Amino acid sequence: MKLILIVEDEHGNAEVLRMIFEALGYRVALASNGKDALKQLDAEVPAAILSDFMMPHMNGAELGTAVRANPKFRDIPFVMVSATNEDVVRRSFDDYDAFIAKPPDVDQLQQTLERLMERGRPSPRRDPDIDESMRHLLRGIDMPPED
Amino acid sequence: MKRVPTTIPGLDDILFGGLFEGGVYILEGPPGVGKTTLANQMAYAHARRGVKTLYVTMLAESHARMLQHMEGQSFFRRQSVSAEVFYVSGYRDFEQDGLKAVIELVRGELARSKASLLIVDGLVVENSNGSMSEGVRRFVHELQSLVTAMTCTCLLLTSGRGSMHSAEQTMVDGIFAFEDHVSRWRSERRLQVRKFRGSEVVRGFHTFCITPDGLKFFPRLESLPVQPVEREVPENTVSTGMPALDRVLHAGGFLPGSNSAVVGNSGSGKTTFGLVFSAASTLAEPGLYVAYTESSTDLERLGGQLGVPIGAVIESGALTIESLSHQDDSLDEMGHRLLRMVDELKVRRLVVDGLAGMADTLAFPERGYRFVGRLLAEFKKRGIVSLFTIDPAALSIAAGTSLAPGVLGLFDNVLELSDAERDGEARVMHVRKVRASRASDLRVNIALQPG
Repeated sequence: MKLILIVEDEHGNAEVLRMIFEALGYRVALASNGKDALKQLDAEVPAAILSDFMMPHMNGAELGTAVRANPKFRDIPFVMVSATNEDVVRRSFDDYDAFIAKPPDVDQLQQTLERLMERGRPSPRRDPDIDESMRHLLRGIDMPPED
Repeated sequence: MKRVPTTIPGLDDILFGGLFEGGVYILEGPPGVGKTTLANQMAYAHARRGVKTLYVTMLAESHARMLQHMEGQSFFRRQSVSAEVFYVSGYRDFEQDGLKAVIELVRGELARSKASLLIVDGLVVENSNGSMSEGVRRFVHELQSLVTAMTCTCLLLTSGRGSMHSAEQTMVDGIFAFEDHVSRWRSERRLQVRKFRGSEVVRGFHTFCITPDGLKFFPRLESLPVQPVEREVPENTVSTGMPALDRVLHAGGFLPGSNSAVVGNSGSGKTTFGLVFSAASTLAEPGLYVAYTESSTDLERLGGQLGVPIGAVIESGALTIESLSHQDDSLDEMGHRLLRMVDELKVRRLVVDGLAGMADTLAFPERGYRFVGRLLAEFKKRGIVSLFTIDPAALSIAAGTSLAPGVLGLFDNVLELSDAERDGEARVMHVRKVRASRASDLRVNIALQPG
């Protein structure tokens, strides 16, 4: 059974999410903040991380940054769930794979997580301006064709 | 010591300026009375000035639910969440390692967020026997040291109610006791500032309400310090609108700043008298008619039937009619609203029709005399000529007590209308009293129409 790591400081929310995903056939590990979550990741790598943004000790942005910086964890799908506006979240961390506003729609949460776990993380976002600059720099250098 | 304004309307008047920086204040009261709304209202007001708040929840509702409830409040700005207002739960730390861990959490999060306002919501202050546990006492003590060191102001929200003489109540810098006072069918939200170090406060109970704009406080009117008014007070008399009456009063009408009671049973002509007086309003002498039973449409129609040009005067901008019929405001809410209106409109002529509407409040039976006295003094200070209509029977029902002669003693002039003494549209008005004049105990025939 796949493991989902749920990182949420609010006890009630965490327990409800645990019940929902265990009923769907997943194993669930809980962490109450980013620091706890990193310890859980060391113990077992989950199929996906579902993280709150506002948490004490280490918030969702700090956790996401730490996860992406670690080669062992950087390809784990990371879903941010928060009552905060997405643009505020994005200012601190933008390399999540999905953002869901709190209170979350459970069906949407389930579909998002399952899609990410099945297909893996989406391809890295391409910035057309950067692509053009790169093509300019690489002009005259034989590059293998893109797939 | 630096003051931290709460920014909550009316509350800083009660505190003579606001909280003190570095202070720890308990907000205690039953669930639903408004503590959480007040704390958030203050947080978002400070957020607009770039001041950050750390909001730590213990056993309170989830953050997402709290924010959902606040969507309907005009002070709420979602873009401030996690930008200036930071919500974290202290429950897990408390559950695993007790209050010591919560202090550590608060210390760490205050440093990370650089918040100047700390709110701890849902702290259970008292044991089942009503006393504070040793652990909570230590927590409050350490919290005081922490917020002083970090130049932060702290609100502790609790549903408990500590004893007046308990050790923990002496530890904090202030105690705000909220209650939802119920009397028969009605209820009023009230605040009492039971303790406030560093400054005097307006003592006793003050009513407040929760609106879509947040909490609003209405300090007990008669307990507020008397403030000077920056307004030019005219010296000329003000015509009643009835020459026959003007002749027996002071050389042309009511003295500036004087107040009059027009007493009479239902149907005796009090409202008509008020309309005739109001119809004499001009842009230089604006008028305000406050009605507790009739609507503004009813009054315009009545005026039209009697030949009193109320509609035209309203249209000119010289007169405003405010209908307060069938509203459940507290006595102080009415008083503060009246004062705000007369100041905004720069009113010179005021009619309050009738006193029974003001008396139909929970506080009036106990405070009516002092309240009316203070209200009249405020009008006098502003040079407003005011006219209160009084129906003794209605006042008895509303206030639960008959019209006390002492209340009429508050008024400069007492005029009595009798429906028994009338001849068509003419009335006999009994001038019972005119302060600073020999014109008393006179009977005057008046036609209740302009001119």
